[in-house]
Amino acid sequence: MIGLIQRVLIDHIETRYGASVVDSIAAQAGLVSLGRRIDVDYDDADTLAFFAAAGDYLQLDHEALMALYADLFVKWTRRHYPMFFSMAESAQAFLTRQPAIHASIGAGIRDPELRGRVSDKFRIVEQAPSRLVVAYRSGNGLCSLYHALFSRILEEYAQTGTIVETQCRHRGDDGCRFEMTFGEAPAP
Amino acid sequence: MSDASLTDAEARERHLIAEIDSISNQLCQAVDGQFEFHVHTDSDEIALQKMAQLNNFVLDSVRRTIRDLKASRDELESRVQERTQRLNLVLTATNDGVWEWDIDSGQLTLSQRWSSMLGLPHDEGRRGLDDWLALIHEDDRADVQRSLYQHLDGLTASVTVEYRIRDARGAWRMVLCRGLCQRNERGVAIRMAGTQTDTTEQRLGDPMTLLPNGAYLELLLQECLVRSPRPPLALVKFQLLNVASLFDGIAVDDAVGALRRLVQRMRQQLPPRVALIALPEHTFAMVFETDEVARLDEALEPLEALLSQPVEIDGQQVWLSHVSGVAVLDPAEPVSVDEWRHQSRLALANARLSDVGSRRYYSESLRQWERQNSRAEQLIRGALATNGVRCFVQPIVDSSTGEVRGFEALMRLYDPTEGIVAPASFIEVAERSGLIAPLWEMLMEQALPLLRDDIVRERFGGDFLLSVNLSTRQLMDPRLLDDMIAASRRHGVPHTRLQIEVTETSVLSDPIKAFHSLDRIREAGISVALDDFGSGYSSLAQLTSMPMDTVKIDRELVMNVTSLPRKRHVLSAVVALCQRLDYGIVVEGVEERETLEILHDWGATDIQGYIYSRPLPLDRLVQDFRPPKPYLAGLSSVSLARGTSLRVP
Repeated sequence: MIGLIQRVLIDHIETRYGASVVDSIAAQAGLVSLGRRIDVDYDDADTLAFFAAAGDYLQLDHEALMALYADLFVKWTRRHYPMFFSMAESAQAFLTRQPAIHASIGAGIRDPELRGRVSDKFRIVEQAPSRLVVAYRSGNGLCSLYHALFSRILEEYAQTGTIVETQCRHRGDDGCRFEMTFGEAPAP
Repeated sequence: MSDASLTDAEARERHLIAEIDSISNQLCQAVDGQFEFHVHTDSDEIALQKMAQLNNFVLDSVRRTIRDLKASRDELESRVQERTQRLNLVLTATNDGVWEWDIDSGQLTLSQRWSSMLGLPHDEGRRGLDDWLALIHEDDRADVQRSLYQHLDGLTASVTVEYRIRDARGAWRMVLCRGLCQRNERGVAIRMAGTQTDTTEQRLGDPMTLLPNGAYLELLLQECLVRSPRPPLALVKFQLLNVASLFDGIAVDDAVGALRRLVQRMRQQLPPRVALIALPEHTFAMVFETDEVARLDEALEPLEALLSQPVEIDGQQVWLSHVSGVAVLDPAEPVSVDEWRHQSRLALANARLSDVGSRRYYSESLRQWERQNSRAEQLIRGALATNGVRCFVQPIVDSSTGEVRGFEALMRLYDPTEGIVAPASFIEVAERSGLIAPLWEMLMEQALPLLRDDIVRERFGGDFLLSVNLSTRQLMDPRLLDDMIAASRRHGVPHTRLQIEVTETSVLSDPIKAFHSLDRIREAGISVALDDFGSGYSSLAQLTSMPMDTVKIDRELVMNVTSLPRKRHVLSAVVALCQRLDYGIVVEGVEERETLEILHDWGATDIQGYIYSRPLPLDRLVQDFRPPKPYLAGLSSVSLARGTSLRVP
């Protein structure tokens, strides 16, 4: 998984609880070293183990951890990639651009095959005024994270909306599919 | 300054500069147009990692875009290649050459096939439009230019023009050029491109015989006349007269096959460099480089020897008759193609009037003959336009009873300057031109009322026949019988009172067809008489086989019969033969009482001649001719009708 994902969580724990807690959580996750580069692809299992250990440390269940992470992610990216936010005038515009942003973050991966897999994880299936359908295909099965991010992005743009996962890998589908609707964006 | 003495901020700044410089240096690889590299930084600075990451994203986007473009290009190239292959397949199949004219540069690009079609070397085919036009026959060049420029100017939807073009051997080929302009959004022509199809075989070949055709002859004659110095030349036209015999009762495909084999054998009899060219009406043309009659005789002898043998078709042997006409050119005398062709046509036309196998050479006397023919045609056309046909009649009298057995309707034409013109001046031309048919219809319109004229009936009785002459063309016309019956019905007279007179020459031109026609006529109740028997080369064989009722013995056999005993013997034999064969006999040209007596003694009593009456204008018949008294042996004279003193102009 791209290093930026775990870097957001590392930075938060390090800032809030100290570097030693990070090391402790990493040890709890069975990791010898913890990668901090945002442009390197780290082992998916290691990342997921770190997330699980962090949830344990923070005493948060998976859903709560995802909600927390979504908030951290938006804040982190708004600080480091403000242009992505200023380029999007609405939650729908941001999420429409999200697959490309995800691909740009994965562009740092050297291995073309791996890079291709990262950039192909998200795909816009359908877009219409107030409606967006996105397909997500990943062995990590982090569809809960997408739900959390959707809610957080709506909040970021002060919008309302709905999300329905019409297909889900956890239900035996090949991948996940999110059908989203958006309320009116407030005037800027 | 050493690293140890730097503050943290200074060290960070130096680190940042070094890393940015490193990233910039890595990006320098893009100047080669290569984007297959990866930007990397070892820095822990997120900003630098972000910079490297986004640079990588841009590079990745560039690579994807290039890959997509390449895929699109490959697909387009593949499509172009596929379409090109299809187009090439079509062009190969049609055997067409391709040309492209770049309007701005004036350059013409020609395909390999375009060049090879003309046997020209393929020099990548680039040349100017004028180079192309220079190869085109000068008589066609203006048409080609016009066609190209009309389309260029937007007047026509496309270019379609056929023309003659010179090939590498110097010979002419016929080609069909098609083309279309490509125009920009303002309608301005950018280029014109199209195909060139070799139509030589279709245009310069005769589909029936597969020989070169008249258009080929035209080109050949033009080539001959522009040679300098011009060699002595002879244009020979050779006509097969009875090719129709080949087709009688034989499937068309078999007959065509036989004709093709025959012309191929004819071709083989000619010198290799002399083309045998097929013209209409089974006429063939050849051009020899000589003006010596002996050499022409020698050259044509194998051909004539071939045709002296029968052609075998479907187990049947068919003899073909031929005539030929020759126009020899004086090398020093200027002449046009039209004039040369005309001279050969005149010679051939004249040969056709002679015996089969004849060959005629053009001379000034033929020109005179042509003028006479032309005059005759004008006379006929004038007569047709002004109702100038005049019906004359000559009675056929039974000398033993004085009864009129019939009247022969004879055609005269009225000319405003020459007055009444005798058939000798026009009948041949009328028959040859086909104008005999409308003349004959006019004649019948005047003659048929004779059969229901009360005064005529009172004077000559109601049983006499009206005898009319038929030309070869009329005899072969399948509508003849119906036309005669319809004309009779229109005039309210029975068609059974008609008699037709045909000559041996007419019948022999196509005996099978003629016999069939005569059978139908006789079955309908119309009598058939063989006219002019004994003139020319009469065949006794016809007497036994021809469907007929009466033989009309020609005046040639009768003249001087009283003073020439040997001639009398011949006439006697002919009369006896006709009697034995049960034919009616009419003796023509009887002018003297002594002849009448001889014929009477032989039992030949139906007489037509001046002794009774010259041909009379129809409107003078009743007035100028009365039935004579019966011939009585021993009387010193025959009571002649008053009409015998009439002078025929």
